[in-house]
Amino acid sequence: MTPVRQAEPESLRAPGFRWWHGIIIGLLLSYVPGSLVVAGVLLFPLVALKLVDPNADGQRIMIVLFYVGAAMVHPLHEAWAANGDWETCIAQITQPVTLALDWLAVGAAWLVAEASAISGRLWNAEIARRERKSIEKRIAYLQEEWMSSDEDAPAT
Amino acid sequence: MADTQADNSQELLIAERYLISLDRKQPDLGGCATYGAQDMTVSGASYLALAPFAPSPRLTEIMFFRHESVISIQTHEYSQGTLWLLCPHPPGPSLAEGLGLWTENQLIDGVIRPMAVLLQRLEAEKLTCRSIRPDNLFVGQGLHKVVLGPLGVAAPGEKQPILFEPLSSAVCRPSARGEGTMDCDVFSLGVVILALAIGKLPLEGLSDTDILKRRFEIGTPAAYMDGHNVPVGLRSLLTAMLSDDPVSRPSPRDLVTIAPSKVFTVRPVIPARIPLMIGGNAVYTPQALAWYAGRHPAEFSVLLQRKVVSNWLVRELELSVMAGLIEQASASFLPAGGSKMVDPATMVITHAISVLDPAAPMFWGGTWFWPEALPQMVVQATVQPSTPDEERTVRNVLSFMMANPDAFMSAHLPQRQSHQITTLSVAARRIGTRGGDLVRRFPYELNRFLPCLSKRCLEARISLPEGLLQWLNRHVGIEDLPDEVLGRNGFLDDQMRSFLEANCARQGIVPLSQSQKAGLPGWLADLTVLAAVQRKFDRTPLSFLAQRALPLLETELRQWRSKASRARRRVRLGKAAEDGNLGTFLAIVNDPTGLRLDQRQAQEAEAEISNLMRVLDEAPERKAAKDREARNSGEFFSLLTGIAVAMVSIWLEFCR
Repeated sequence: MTPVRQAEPESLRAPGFRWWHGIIIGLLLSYVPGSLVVAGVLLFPLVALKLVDPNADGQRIMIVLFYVGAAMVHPLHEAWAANGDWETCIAQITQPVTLALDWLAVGAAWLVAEASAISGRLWNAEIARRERKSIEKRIAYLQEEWMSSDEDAPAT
Repeated sequence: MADTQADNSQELLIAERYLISLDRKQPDLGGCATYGAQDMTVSGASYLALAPFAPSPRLTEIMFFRHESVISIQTHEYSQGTLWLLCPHPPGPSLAEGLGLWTENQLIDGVIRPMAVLLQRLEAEKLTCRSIRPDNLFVGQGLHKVVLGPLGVAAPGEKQPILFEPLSSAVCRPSARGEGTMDCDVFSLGVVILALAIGKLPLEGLSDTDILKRRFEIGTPAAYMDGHNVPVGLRSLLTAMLSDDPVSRPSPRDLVTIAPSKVFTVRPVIPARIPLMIGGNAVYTPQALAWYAGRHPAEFSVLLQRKVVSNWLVRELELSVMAGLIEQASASFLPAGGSKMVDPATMVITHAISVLDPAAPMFWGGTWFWPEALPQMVVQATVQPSTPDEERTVRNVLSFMMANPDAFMSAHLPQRQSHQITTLSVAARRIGTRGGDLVRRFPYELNRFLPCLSKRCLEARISLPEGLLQWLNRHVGIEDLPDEVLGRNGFLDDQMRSFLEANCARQGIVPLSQSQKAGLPGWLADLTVLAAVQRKFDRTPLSFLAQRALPLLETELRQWRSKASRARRRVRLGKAAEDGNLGTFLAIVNDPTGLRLDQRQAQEAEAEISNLMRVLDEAPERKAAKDREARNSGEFFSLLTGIAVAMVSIWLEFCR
């Protein structure tokens, strides 16, 4: 577990980190190490996503964070209920269902984000197509009305 | 004026009352075609229907004239624009069918007195009859009293044989004789009296030129009476009536008070002792010289220049005043300033002739004529020219005279001629057009009974504009008016146009000014005129005319840019054509406001098209921005669902 714990601050050391982040993590580490380990393990997929998907910007991370958060509620609650009992925490993070849920949450978040972006794009394309069609129709009508002659009209 | 063509085209019902049998042709009355007619409302009432071609311009006044010695015109009716006159049958056969031999008393009571009273009445009305000739005088069976045929139904003097015309109009062609004066009627009456007294026509069997030659040679009284057994009591009367000098003829008042063997004195004409030779003819009097001058103008001008004429006048005739005037006239042969337009030689001859014989008609441009007869001459030259270039000559004379009245005014013509020229030029100024147009319109302006002289409808004798419209409506088929003719000349020809314009002008409307006419195609200008005439004179629909114009107007619709507007107007055109109101029909195409609106809308449409094109061109650029936006909104949606999932998870964990 140590490598995980060490890897966590390492990987999250982004430009936005300040010295007080370190203090908070230190305090948490010293008072609720179990909960922190649970949180750290459960937040690991986020790190993995960051590494895998270079396009994942802050907003994407934020979305995923909420989903992961949703998956984290139960284990953290358990850990909290057990007063940060180390064993309980270990039991939580070694429970395959919890881990699977956690990973699925990340996947679902990513999927939902991508799918909504794609469907938004498709929706836009459809609107643009319709607009274009109506403009072309209008042009055709105007040309027919104002620029055509009656040469081919049937003689009355 | 409701008129209907009966089923049988040989019968014509006019004014729903008079039935004219076109197959019952009667002998011409007063010089115009005559048919039998019946009054349908009165059984057995039989009339004669007269079909005048170019009646006297003063027919309106003449129709009100009633006298027992003249067959009065009962009524006049128009049938399809054609004038018909109805009058009773003459009391008996005409004198042309048998003159008989009348005694002096019969002549005085049956011819001289009644005719003199008639002439006196006419003189008071300032009318002339110019139709006293045997075939127009009728005698009741067993009576010795003549009745004159209807007046004014033919052009004045046109049907008179040369024998019955005084020299002042006999030298002219029939159409050039003009209204004449009461003296002319007195002369004609004199010839009739002479013919009745001797039982035959004088100078029978001679040609017109021979008759004239003989009359100029020895004077008309002598030419007519020599060798005939003229009653002694009538000799001085006839000598006076047949006198070549109009002043010497008795007036109608003198004739009314006639008594047997009344003596009239005439200033004797003294012929020259030695004749003047011109063109191989011996000439004894100035009048004869004037006539021969017209026949041999070149020779006459040589004589003038050599002063032979003036010398002859002084030595042989002792007419020094006339000789002086002739000298003055021939002096202008010398090249002098003045108008370049006038051929001086012709003008000098005109002047010299008017000096030699003040009563003679005008001689100019190679013809003898009275200026007031010029419109009638134009009519005659148009309808049946006697020589191929007669029409051109007459037109030139008239248009020149109208363009340069001053040239004639300064020529010191006799009063009657210059008065007539003034009247004509006043009329010309009132018409207001120039050149060929003026010449064509002149006859119509001066005679509202004149039918349209177009070759196409001459037969129909249409003298009302609405009649012409109806006629056109019936004759616009492709066989009457081929497409290429329609495209080139329009619906009307020049005569029809002049006819309609003159009739419009009479009503005080100018359908189309010259400048407007120049900008329009012929058929459209014609339609505009026709529409104006229809609006003014006749509301009867002209559907066939409109139908014929429909394709032409439809091409005119090309001016409209809007297709829908064109289609709408085409439908309206079709409907208006069926209705036959040319005014609304034309207004659909001739709509400047609508056209302007259309043009503005077309410009707006063009602007809109270019605008929309630009929008289409810019679409890719906007697509990138749109995509970013879509991604953002998608992620926002995902965020929201994430928040919702998180909250649901918290709820599940804590609240259940």
